[in-house]
Amino acid sequence: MLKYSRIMSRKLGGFRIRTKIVKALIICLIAGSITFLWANRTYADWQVGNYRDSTNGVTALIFTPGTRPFLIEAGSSGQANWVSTLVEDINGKDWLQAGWRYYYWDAVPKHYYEYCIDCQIEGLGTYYIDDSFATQTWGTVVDYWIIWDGNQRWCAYTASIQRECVDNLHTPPALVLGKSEVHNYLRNELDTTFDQVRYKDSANNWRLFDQSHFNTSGPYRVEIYSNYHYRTYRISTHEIYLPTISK
Amino acid sequence: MILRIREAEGATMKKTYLYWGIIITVVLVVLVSITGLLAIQVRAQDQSASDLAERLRQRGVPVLYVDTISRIPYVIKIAIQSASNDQKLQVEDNWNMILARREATISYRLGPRINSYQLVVYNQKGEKIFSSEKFLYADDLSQTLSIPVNSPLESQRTKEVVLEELRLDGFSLDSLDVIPENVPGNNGQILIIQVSAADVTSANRWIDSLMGSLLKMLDTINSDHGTYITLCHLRVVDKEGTVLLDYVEDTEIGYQQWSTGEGLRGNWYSQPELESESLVPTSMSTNPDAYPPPSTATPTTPHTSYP
Repeated sequence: MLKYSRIMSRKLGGFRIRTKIVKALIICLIAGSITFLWANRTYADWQVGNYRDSTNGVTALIFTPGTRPFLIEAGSSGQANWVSTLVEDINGKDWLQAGWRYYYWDAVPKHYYEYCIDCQIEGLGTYYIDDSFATQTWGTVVDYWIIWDGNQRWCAYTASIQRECVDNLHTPPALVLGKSEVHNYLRNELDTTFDQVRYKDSANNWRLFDQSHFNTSGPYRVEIYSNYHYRTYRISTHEIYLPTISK
Repeated sequence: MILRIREAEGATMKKTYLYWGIIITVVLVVLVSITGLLAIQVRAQDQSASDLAERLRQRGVPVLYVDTISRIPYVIKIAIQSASNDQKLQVEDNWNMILARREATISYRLGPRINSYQLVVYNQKGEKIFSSEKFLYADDLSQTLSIPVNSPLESQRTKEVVLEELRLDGFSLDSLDVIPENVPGNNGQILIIQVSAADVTSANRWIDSLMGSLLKMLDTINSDHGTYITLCHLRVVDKEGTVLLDYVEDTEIGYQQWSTGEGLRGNWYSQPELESESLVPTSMSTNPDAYPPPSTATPTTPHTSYP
């Protein structure tokens, strides 16, 4: 009887191990497929963060991580961390954004601002980027602003300095965002803190973000301390799949 | 006695006159000097604006005018004519606008430093279709550029280096040229590339790879290979010759402007979107101190200084 139970137990144990292996293989297959699909999306671009509607501007303190994040060294692999307006109408999307961006070939992140007029809908859109003025080293924080100056212009500031004002974009109120964006490869690391994320209300007072529109994208997540203070990051691969396998 | 008193008074009067005379003379000299300097500055500013307009015309930019808007701070306005008949910028405007920005930004090499410049583009109907004001500061990276002392790598060798660095993948190379910039105060090289794809689907597949290799190359080629590429004009077309991408970069300064054709979408630049996947809050931290900001972080300014 004892012998029988031992044999059964061994068999059951073996069965359990086999089941676990099969389960792990299936999970790996699914994980691989998901990763493959993420990695091979036509538009390989992931964004995480928060937004606020109906504003006259946006500002945030945007940190750089303490050390250089890992980036795949191919294509246009990189990341940008920004505040931005976004207005969509019959002519297309318009935006003005400012922040720091870093590609794998850069020595350090650069301040930049960019705008787009009538983009992504039929017909030609015009894009413009300027990253010619300053850098933001690792482990530092800089304030970035986009504001409506009340004179038919949206203006971009980095480090409290006015960089450019653009007409012909859109009139307020505008939806504004504070997000991180990863280009091309989902294995790229991300670890950016946004703090004091504020919007400018219709009376031109600066107020802390008071809406929660956080999202996830691929392996990128947001650690939320409040609506105006959050950290964008990439979960590690074992965090994605290990809990499922160990069940 | 009286005579002595009068003599003393006379001497005092003379001293007073002399004193006031000196003061008035000094004030006059200062005023004349300031006026002279202002006149020289005004003339220098006017000359700089007219030179800038002339340089742009020589480069084929359809400049309407370059005006001085303000003397102190020194602000100029550059007006360009577009071929557009509607409210949208045309593909050709990319090149013209980048050249205008370039000339204004590095005008400090040839004349007075500009504090800001307004760039305005008009369509064929005389309507303003684009307007912006760019602010320049003496410590900007773009304001501290130096011209290389040595002659740049010769054109043929530059082409070879470009071809080594560029990843064409699914694109075929139609043309590649390196021409001298040939303008006063600059001996740069202009890189002109045209590639073609079978169609927009094929272009979308390879565009990030192409642009990644181009951006990386333009950021590093001058320091790594001794070239002096200052401007790059890339055009991507399909088999019918339709422009899918018209990209212009001022390599030396960092300005980039481009237009995309219908259906083309790349991911080498940022483009805000509302939602990528979900609107579900992912991990609400119970401990706000769970992720302290970097210890070396120092805000550059207090938030009380918002405009």
